[in-house]
Amino acid sequence: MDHTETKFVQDEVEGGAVHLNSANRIRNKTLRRAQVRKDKRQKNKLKKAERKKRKDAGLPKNVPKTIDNMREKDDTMLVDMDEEDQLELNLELERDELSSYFQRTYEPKVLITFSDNPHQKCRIFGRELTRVIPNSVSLYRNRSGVKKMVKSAIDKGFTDIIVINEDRYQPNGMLVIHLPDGPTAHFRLSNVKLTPELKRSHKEISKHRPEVILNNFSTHLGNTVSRMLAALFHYEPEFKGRRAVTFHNQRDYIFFRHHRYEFTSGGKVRLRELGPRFTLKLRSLQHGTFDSKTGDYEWIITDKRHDLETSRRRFYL
Amino acid sequence: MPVGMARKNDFDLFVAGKTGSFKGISINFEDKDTKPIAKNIQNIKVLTKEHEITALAWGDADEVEVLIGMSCQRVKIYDTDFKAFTSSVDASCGHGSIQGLSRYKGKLLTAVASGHVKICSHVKNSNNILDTGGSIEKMRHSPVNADIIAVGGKENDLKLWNLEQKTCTFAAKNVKPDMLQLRVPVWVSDMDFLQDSAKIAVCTRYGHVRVYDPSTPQRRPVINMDIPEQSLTTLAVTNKDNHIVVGNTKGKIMLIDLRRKGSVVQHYKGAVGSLKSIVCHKTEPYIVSVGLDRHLLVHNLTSRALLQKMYMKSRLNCILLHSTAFLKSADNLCVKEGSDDDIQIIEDDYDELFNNMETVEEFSPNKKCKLK
Repeated sequence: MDHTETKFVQDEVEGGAVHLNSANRIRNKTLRRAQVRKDKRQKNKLKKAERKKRKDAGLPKNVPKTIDNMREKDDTMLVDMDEEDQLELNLELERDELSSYFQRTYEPKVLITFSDNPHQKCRIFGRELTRVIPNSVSLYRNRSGVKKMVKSAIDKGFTDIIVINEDRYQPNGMLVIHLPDGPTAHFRLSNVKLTPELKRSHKEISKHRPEVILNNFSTHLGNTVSRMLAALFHYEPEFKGRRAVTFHNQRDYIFFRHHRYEFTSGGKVRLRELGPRFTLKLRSLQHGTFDSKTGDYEWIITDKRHDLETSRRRFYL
Repeated sequence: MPVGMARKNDFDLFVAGKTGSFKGISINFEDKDTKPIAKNIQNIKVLTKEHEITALAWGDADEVEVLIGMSCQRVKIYDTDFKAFTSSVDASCGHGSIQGLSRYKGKLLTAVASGHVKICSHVKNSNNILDTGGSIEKMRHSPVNADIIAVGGKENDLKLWNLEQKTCTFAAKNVKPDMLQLRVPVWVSDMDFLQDSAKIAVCTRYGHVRVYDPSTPQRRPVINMDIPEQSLTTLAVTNKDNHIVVGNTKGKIMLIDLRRKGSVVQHYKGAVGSLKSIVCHKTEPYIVSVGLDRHLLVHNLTSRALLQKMYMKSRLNCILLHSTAFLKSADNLCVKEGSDDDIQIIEDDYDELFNNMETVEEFSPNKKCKLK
């Protein structure tokens, strides 16, 4: 029976089509499974041959369809802009609140703080961020209000504030405030993995200033957010430390990773993750420093999720 | 108005933004195939940080001249007939950006954030500067009485000033303390004169909509409503009686009925950032709004439909809408003008029709039963 069935399948293969369901007719479980495996192998073989044919013919590789590359078109995308739009954008970038960082007029100094009475994980996370971000300190909040903190931080020469919020012992929110005139971004923070959770040691992290990689921010809003994140780090990385910090945007989620890299003698690159690791999602971007009641929002998703999240392929960053 | 034909190729509205860009926009709602046009009128290359445009206004009744107020306290004048900037006037007084702009007796009238109102004239004397006391967030010129302006701002409740006499004719009094006997803070963000009345509608950053009536001795608002947890930034009077549109810092546009206390009638969806300016069409049911989300939105006032959404590249501050905007075809305009007569005729027709009709006698139910 085995033999006849196989022959049947092979005939079909020669005919050009493979029916994986052909095994369904076999009642014996062992034989059926064997047949399924065989069919699958056959199918993969065909696919491989097809690929080879394409390669030999000099055709380009097939690109798989993903949600990312089928993304809905957005007016605010920064690609394919005409000259006038480009000029207008550059003009704005030259003179917005973050422009002084990109003109290298000051060195960033970052204050990292928490919600009141932070628990252990939150505290450790704050301390790990100070190892990632050069020239940063982590301080307890001491029941101070954010607006008050902004004022005193400006007086003390800080250029950015990060406030980490927590819920049920887990860090769940991050507020990034650029000083002295904003903007303010509020992120949802999730999947925080500390260095020990990644089975690493903080001793591996050197004091060198890291390189910052900002991936995939394609819209006007995304550009502003990426500029804000870039402004937390010193503009001149110390390449000797071979440390890289990545903010990778994929489907509006910003993934943070921290690596040390190495070029091997074979010309390849090896990465070693150093930790921590976390994910951000933008909730709101506000014009000016923190003022949740009367401040002007440039973009806010609260109350509008049904209007904004209209499709799986609609992204804003 | 004889403007219908002449304006055919002109812009329906103008918007101006934080970068100092000044754009003309024309939208055709009747012909679906024509795409809306947005054009930079101001050359962007020459702009600096001081060129942020904070106020726009028509310079004359025919809506030919556009006054452009900038944060550096200069006023530029754009002529829509010649399609060119004709002059630039220095209106410096006090400090802060220009928050309100108008023409008074042929002279420029500017209000700056520090609370000074200036009537620009060639004769140099300090007499033409008016200190209204307190910061100004917005200045509006009364459409009925040209002598009256309304000002208000942070911790500076609504005040009406008479420009002729240079006196404050009306100063609003803060509402009574709340139930905990705490003073209610004041932050007037926008105001507008209600149609065909002396009343003024005001919205605040702390979420109040108030109506003041200067014709009565009462200095407290005649209507005071609370929209909690909303910081209102801009207000516009609609062509519907007793209805105003307000916008907040989180991208909500709301239609408010002033007759019913505290009732939001409708929401208009589409904005994602703080609204900076909303303007309603004088005759047609259109609402145009701009804000920090860099989009221009046009809604239908009654059906709530989003008619147009345009990406304008920079953060926008103000709109200036032509009174005959969106009325493109001349035929339509004619119909609108003669609409009263048309209705009259139709009514006559109906009367005649009904008079000529035969009266139908109804059978009584008893008869029906008999027929059975």
